[in-house]
Amino acid sequence: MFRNSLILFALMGSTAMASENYRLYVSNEYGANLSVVAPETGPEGEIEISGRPGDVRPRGMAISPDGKTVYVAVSDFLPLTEKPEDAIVAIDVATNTVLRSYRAGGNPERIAISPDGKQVWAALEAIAQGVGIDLETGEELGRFPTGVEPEGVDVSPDGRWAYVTGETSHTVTVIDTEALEVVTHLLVGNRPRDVVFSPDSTRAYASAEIGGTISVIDVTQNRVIETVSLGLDSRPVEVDLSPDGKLLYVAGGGTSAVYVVDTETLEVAHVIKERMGRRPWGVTVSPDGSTVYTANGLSDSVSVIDTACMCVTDEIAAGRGAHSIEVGHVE
Amino acid sequence: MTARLTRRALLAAALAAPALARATTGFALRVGIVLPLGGPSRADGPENLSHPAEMARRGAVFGEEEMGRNGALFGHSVTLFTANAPGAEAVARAARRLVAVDGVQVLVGGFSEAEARVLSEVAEETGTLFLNIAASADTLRAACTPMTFHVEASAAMYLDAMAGWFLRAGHRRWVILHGPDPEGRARLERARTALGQRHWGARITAEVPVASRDFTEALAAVADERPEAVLVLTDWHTQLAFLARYEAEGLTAPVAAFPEAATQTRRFYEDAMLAAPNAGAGHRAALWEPTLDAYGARELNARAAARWGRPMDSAGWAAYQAMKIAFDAAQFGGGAEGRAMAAHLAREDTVMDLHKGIGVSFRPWDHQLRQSLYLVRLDPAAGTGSDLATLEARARLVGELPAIYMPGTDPVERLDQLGDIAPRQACGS
Repeated sequence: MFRNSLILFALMGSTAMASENYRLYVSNEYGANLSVVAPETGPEGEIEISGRPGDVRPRGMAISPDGKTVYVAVSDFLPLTEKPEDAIVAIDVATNTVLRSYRAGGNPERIAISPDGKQVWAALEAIAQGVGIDLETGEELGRFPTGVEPEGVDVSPDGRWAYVTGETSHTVTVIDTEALEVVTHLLVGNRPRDVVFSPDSTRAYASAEIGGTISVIDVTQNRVIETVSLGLDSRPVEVDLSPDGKLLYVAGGGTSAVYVVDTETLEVAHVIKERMGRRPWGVTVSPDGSTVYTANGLSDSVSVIDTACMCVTDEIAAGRGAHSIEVGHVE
Repeated sequence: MTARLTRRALLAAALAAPALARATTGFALRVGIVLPLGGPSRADGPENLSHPAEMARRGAVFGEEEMGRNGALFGHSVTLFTANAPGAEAVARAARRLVAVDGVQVLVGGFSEAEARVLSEVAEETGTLFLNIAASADTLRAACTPMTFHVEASAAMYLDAMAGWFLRAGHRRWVILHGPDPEGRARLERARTALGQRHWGARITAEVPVASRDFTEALAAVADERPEAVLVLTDWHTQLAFLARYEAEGLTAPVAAFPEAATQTRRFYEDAMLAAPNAGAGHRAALWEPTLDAYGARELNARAAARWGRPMDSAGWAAYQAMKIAFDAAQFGGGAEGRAMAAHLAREDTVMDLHKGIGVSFRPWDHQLRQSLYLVRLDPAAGTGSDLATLEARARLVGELPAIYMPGTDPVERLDQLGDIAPRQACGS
């Protein structure tokens, strides 16, 4: 997701990056590869993650603050056996080649990069832990207990907190990234899938697939302060924010919809369904906020949403079981 | 922003199952599971339920471990007590002992109507929550038992699902075999409803009670009537014996058999295909299927398989989810006290995630879990090995009813397509 690259682009003095300057990267869970897509011209090729599609699955993704490195969480279906495939793979956007692989036992599912670009944080789905890894040395900074089936993870833009959702425990685990300790666990909605911090690090939003809710967390107090209902059968999964933090985009997974929540009023401002691909699982916002992209797992595609009309304007082919999508910055 | 007590917030809090306001800390949840595990000398017969009971025990242990891990985040503890009690009398003794001596707040079990009824009675007497994981009898749902909740699907749900699948496959003319006991007759009556009232194109051409292992009349009826499907509503043991005779007679109409818990195991599937390589390799309804590959089910199945080295059968899933239901009820219902947990589960707005991809709930009027069911096809090519891959290959998922992956309708309405939705009585009124 775009998340932490917000800071970099702000420092660069450019909040608008033309679409020819970025590429979309889509993790294909059942294809064991990534699709590379040019927003204007469509698919550009694939990056193989493993020669064992179906067994090895790339899922959650994150982008470095400079937009030049894409990270993808890779795992298999052997939860109690750590294999070389349980890894976080770094890919160079300039060359579309694998730069490095980080060992991450326990089926990493989703990941986030710290705002300084020096750490990756992962939810280790099979072993109910969150982990922080130093990206330069590959050293594990620590492992932290979460609820069973951790999935969503994000690092606050101020670098202070890592939040990890636990699907069966209905929790968000709060990790102090400086002290490297768990501060607390928050009860949120039923089956929380993902979490994202606001650009100013004061709020976080956690989606709950079965509850059909977004929990609004006051980060300064580490406390849930509001619950937004999207409807019991809305099945929210991945979430991302507009660059200004005013709109929360929620992939509606099994409902084949995208929900747009106004973060000031906490009202559902739009529900985008027409022409949406099937089972949008991943969602990301373009650097200028004008376009939203979803990774659609059942239609193996990317839906392109124009935020001016909040409507789908295009659909681009991806690979088998599109899971997550990120924006990479091309020089 | 400060916390605002808005109408929207209240509504959202009600819709979200884990409402923070009701959360508690530091409870000690004690669950007693009563299972007909038997022993090595257990006689062969329909009352021998040791294999599905062992599958349930493993699911409960797995649930204890995972819920214990979740509970540790908040200082809660989860402890499972297991009682081996084959038969209703033994079940009653074990249940009372678990409550009185071990202090359990939750009873789990019910492998026959009689066992479930006894557990329900103990639960009502002692204020203990009872989660029925394997008894499908509709009469249990008709009773006024505020402390009892049914994780196992009802016979009505199974029969509605089977009628839906098989009629859609084009089978219109049916011969029905049923047990002569009250449960067998009740299944027959409900099958008439499923076929006759909900699917007017179906016609039952013969109904044959099957006692012991005398299938003469049943086989003659099938030969004479030439039905498009044979519906076998007997116990699991009689199903196996009938399949063997049916195949030996050279009869070929598809056999649809009632999916009582003992039939929903990889071992039963193997036995069915050994008894009747053709007729035994058909489609079966199931509460759970370890090859389900969506909704987090794949991850749950993988963890369970890694824990025990074999697929998680339906009884294992039900026992695992009973542990999860009890834990969530304690967490969000005000603590590990039986009546408080039961009150939480009976609420219209209590929605749970049981890895079936949709929020599920208990029907307030009969405490039946609303849920989707699965259609599996047995595969004789899987072989007879006991390794994980062979066991998994023994059946594969081919259908789901109601189909929850297509959105657009209210989840409760969708799930209530199966079973008896009209309140038969106003319990407590």
